[in-house]
Amino acid sequence: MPLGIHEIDTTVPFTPPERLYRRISPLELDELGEITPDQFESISFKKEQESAPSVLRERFSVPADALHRDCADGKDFSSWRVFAITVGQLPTAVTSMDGRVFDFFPVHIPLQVCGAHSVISSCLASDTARKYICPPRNVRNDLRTKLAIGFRPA
Amino acid sequence: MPSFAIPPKEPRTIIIDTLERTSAESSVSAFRGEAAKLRRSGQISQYLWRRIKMDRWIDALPALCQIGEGWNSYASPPPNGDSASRAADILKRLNPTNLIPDAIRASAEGGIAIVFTSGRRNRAVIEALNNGEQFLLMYDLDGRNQTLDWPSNLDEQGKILGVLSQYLERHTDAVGNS
Repeated sequence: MPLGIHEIDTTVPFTPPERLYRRISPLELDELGEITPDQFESISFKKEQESAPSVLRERFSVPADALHRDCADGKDFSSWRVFAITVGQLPTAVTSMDGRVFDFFPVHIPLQVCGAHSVISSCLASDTARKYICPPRNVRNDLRTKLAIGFRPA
Repeated sequence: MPSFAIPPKEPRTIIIDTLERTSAESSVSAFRGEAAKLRRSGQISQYLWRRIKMDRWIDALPALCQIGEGWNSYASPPPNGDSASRAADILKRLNPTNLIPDAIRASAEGGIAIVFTSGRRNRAVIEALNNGEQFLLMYDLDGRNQTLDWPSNLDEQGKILGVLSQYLERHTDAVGNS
């Protein structure tokens, strides 16, 4: 059962070895049950940081929580798989076509019944305040290919 | 000297093409199985085989638009008619080339993804998004990648497809180095 928003502490910082869990559709897996970039289509970004790709942080969850209805808008994804990537594997210093340099990093945004909910956010590498900026196309694609390669069954 | 020669049989390719254009969907589906057998036995051309496969992908596009909101469990929109139409245009552009997609998928960003793989480590996807954006992503299994805008100009599209073809066929990395 996923922890609720009142059972977690958002001040606990992420560390490089901490794992981030994400549920993956069987359609995104190859015949070996592994993600390949050409089948990995579930990463998207919008203008708001809250719409960045969702993950659950290991500090406050177990892999099965990613399939639980409380962390999946009440829907049944029990036949899906859970994959993980560590915080340290998120791409950094990705240069956009206009020369800006982006970092990706996790941000803990707990939901009422899914306290471990987090997103993979992005900012300019030079911004110490880490203000969210929706990454441009080629930077997004860089994340997508590296996540597909970095994600492993949890 | 005999003056009569047995007339050559009508090429199967013509029969296939005619059926493809005139038959009901169910018979086309059945015929595609027949076409696959002919292809294996070398009785239809590579060109026609590509046409059949490409038409199959184009036929599948409307169904992809019906997959529903949040199809990937992360609130992604389904492809809309515009992205499906532009994806069909891209597929038609592939006809004169040697490029055949390995899959057509919905994109997480809302739109259609045309996926190419190769026997090597190089991969590519052309995406036509609901917001009008179109691009080619080339990448390898080590994470090297390059994104190119999909141009509206037909000549430029031809050049991009040349780059893509070369990328998938040769051992070239995503930034163009051999």
